[in-house]
Amino acid sequence: MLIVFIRALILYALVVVVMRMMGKRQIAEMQPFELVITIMIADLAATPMENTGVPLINGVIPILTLLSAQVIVSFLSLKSEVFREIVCGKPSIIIDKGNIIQSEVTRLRINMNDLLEQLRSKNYLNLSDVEYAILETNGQITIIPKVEKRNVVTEDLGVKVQPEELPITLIVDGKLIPKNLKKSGFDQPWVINQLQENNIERIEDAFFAFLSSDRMFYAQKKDKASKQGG
Amino acid sequence: MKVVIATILILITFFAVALYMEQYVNQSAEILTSELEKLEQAIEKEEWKEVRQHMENTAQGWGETKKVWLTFLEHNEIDKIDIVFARLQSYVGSEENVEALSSTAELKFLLQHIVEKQGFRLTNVL
Repeated sequence: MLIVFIRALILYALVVVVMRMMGKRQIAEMQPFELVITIMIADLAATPMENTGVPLINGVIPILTLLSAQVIVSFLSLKSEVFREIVCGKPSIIIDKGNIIQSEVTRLRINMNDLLEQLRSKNYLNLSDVEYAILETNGQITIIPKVEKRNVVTEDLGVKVQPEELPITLIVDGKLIPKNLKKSGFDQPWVINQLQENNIERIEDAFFAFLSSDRMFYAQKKDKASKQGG
Repeated sequence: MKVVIATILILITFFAVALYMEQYVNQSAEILTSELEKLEQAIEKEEWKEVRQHMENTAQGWGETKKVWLTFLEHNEIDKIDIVFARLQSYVGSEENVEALSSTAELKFLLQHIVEKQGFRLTNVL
């Protein structure tokens, strides 16, 4: 039993490292070859985990092979447009200037119900509101609405806006993050002062504190239950 | 870029180790097979003292080889060899030459089978 336990831990650690090396992508945004590899890695790790008759290396090698294949293919896709087109395909325009490109829709085997469903999921109820629709290589549809149907932006209103900065997390679960504090340009006494203004005595009593995009300090105190660790 | 370089290094290391391990399996199987042949000859001559000596050498050789083979070969293949080995030791102990010869032939076949199965061939890939 301990053997299975240790093997599972080893393979788990390996899969985490491999997924980390493969890079950050949501499943919905993956290219087909990336999705295939993710599914295969999960399956390959499972068999040697439970079957102690299979040497651990027989699980490690295929996983490392897939990692190598994925890294090399994605690197070549980055460097070569031709290679990328072969492996990932290219985006297809299915609605052009408000007209459905029937040849593309037929070639891609998309029926009208699927297309309308995709439009509705993007909050476009009418086909007549769409200027362009592009089927991306990851299967998602990008909609560019007609000018008169798009959302209003601040530029349209002629409103002057301040440029926004990224929010900076300063405290998580009672621990100050020094790297982020340095990035914010403030120091620890300033943080303590801000916390005290929010009725929080010490850094350890803060559950979460951050500097917002408009440089305002926000903090939340730990409640009693989480302080006691209960 | 670091990940690409790390990946290429992993691949190079893997190919080097894979080639080495294939060579190791071939060599160690050859050594064991030649020990088994000496054992067979001694059994045919019914020189049981020599048989026991060769048996001991073969068992020692197999013990050392097994430790390495277990890290990358299917365990059930190793288990089969262990079973036949145990049987052979019993036949040698009771000086039954026909059964002992049959067991050595079985062992030689199993070793050869492992070498063929591990080899980088199209039939194994497919």
